[in-house]
Amino acid sequence: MSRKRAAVLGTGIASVLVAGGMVFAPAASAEAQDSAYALAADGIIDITPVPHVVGSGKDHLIAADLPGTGKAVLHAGVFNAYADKGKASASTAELKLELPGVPVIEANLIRASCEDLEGTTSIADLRIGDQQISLDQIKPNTNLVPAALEGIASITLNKQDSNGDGSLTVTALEVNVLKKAPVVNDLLGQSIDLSSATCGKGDGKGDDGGDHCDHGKGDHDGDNGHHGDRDRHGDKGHHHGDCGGDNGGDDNGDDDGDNGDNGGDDNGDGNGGDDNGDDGNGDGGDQADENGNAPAPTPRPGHLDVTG
Amino acid sequence: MERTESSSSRPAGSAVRRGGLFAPRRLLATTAAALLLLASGCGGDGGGQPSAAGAENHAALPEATTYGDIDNAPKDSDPNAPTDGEVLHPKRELVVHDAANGSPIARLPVKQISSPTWVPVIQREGDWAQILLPSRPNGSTGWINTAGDAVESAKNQYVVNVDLESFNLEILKDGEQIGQWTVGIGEPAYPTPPGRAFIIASIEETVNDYSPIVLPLSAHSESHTTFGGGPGTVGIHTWPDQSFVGKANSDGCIRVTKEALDELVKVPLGTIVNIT
Repeated sequence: MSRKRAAVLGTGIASVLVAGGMVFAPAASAEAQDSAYALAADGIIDITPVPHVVGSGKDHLIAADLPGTGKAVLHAGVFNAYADKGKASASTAELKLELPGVPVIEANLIRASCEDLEGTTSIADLRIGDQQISLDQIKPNTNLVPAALEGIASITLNKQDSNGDGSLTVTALEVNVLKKAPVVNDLLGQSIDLSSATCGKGDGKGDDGGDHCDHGKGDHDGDNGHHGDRDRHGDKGHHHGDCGGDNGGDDNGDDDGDNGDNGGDDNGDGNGGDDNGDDGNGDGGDQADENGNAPAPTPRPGHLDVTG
Repeated sequence: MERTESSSSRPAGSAVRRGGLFAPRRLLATTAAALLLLASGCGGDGGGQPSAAGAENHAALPEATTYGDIDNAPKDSDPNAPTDGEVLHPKRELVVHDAANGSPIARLPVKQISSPTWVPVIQREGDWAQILLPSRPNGSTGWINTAGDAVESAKNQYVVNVDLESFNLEILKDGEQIGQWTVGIGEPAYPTPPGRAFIIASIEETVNDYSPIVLPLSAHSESHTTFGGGPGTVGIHTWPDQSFVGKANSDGCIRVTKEALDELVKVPLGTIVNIT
């Protein structure tokens, strides 16, 4: 099945799009369309790609549990998907995936970016069962079978598929339940995609790093660009989330707040200069430093509509 | 070799308790909505023992997060007073009381949005600490018992002062000004609320574009009950152009230049922001 997706279809979907958060206009173009989705699953647990952007636009979904009917299997804080000419990205934040019989899979941020036929994946704080999986420079199509998942499932990171139409699909994390796993029948062979982006060739327009930020008074996401001076046209060449900084979302390691030129300190601020200060808690920033002083915070991926 | 793990070993692992994103107005088929039922105090908790929020009768207490609304929280009676800079991080979800040894009114989770919870202490009575809360209404406080291993305590050397009339924001470290900038504030119809607030989280924004990092405050707009998809939280953040500098044209947020934000992101969570 081609990875190119058209509209969002499907049954059994229980996604709810946050008010004001959904808008996209497919680009009027006969050629391959860039698209992105943060979550999809094939198999008995059928989840239509969500949120889903085709062509051009942004979408986000703040979801608790998917699918919404029956047994909940996936919790996440925020899903985002973004697509524009020649580039697409999708991210899932604060993920917790619970498939019955399978150790819990958690991650703080799972992001796939695809630009101009190149794909990258970044994954922060991946935990499977009790095991913290550290990842660095995730090569394409990395297969992972952590001890906790042996005989149950395998994980593919930074899965990259060239599609028949010349486009590339990057899927940040795919969980594949083995056909002979000791789990309920329903799950055998189940696969779940997290954060997938598909892109074709770009048109050479550079990313200006976010001067054309979108915002809209009174409408938090600014996607609609209704308010005159900033319209979606200014979105082109603009990566979601990197307004004013270079948070380009296309390199590993942007998960721990190391996007230094956003003003956020790098890892290790306030916690003795080591990594992001976690010592068993996995979080960092929750302990006083050696002088008893409050730690400098590490900005964490997340979302809150403040009053702007 | 079938293993079923239904809960994470991390304290904040459960999505449903991460109160920030699961306000009842979102149509989500989870049990999260149950957490936001307001309940009257379940009777005095008494004793000097830290109240873990796991007890049955506390599960229905509202969560002290930016999404919460805790009517019966005692008010900040002296918002102009200085503090000694103590900030606390709950190591587990803690019950918040309306007085030292008083009745439970809320639960304080270990995270605010995606950051660890740090709250400033404005008063102490033995093991009991009066803290500012991140929830509505503005100026809410509560008391938590810090005995045993309930909290991580740290000293915060920073204070942020915002003077609305002069559109000025300054950062003090140990009482000395280390920077000041001209900022933008809420327009007359949607003013930035005065009072004593604190920085509740440091968010690398994944949805909105106007600022790479947003520092939400404990304060909420008095004129916007909700805003966008959120509960009307007032925040500090930058803006794509300079149209805000020295102007009152935001919906309540304090807009700062990139240079100012670069400094503000360094101050600890729980830093008090005095808005006058």
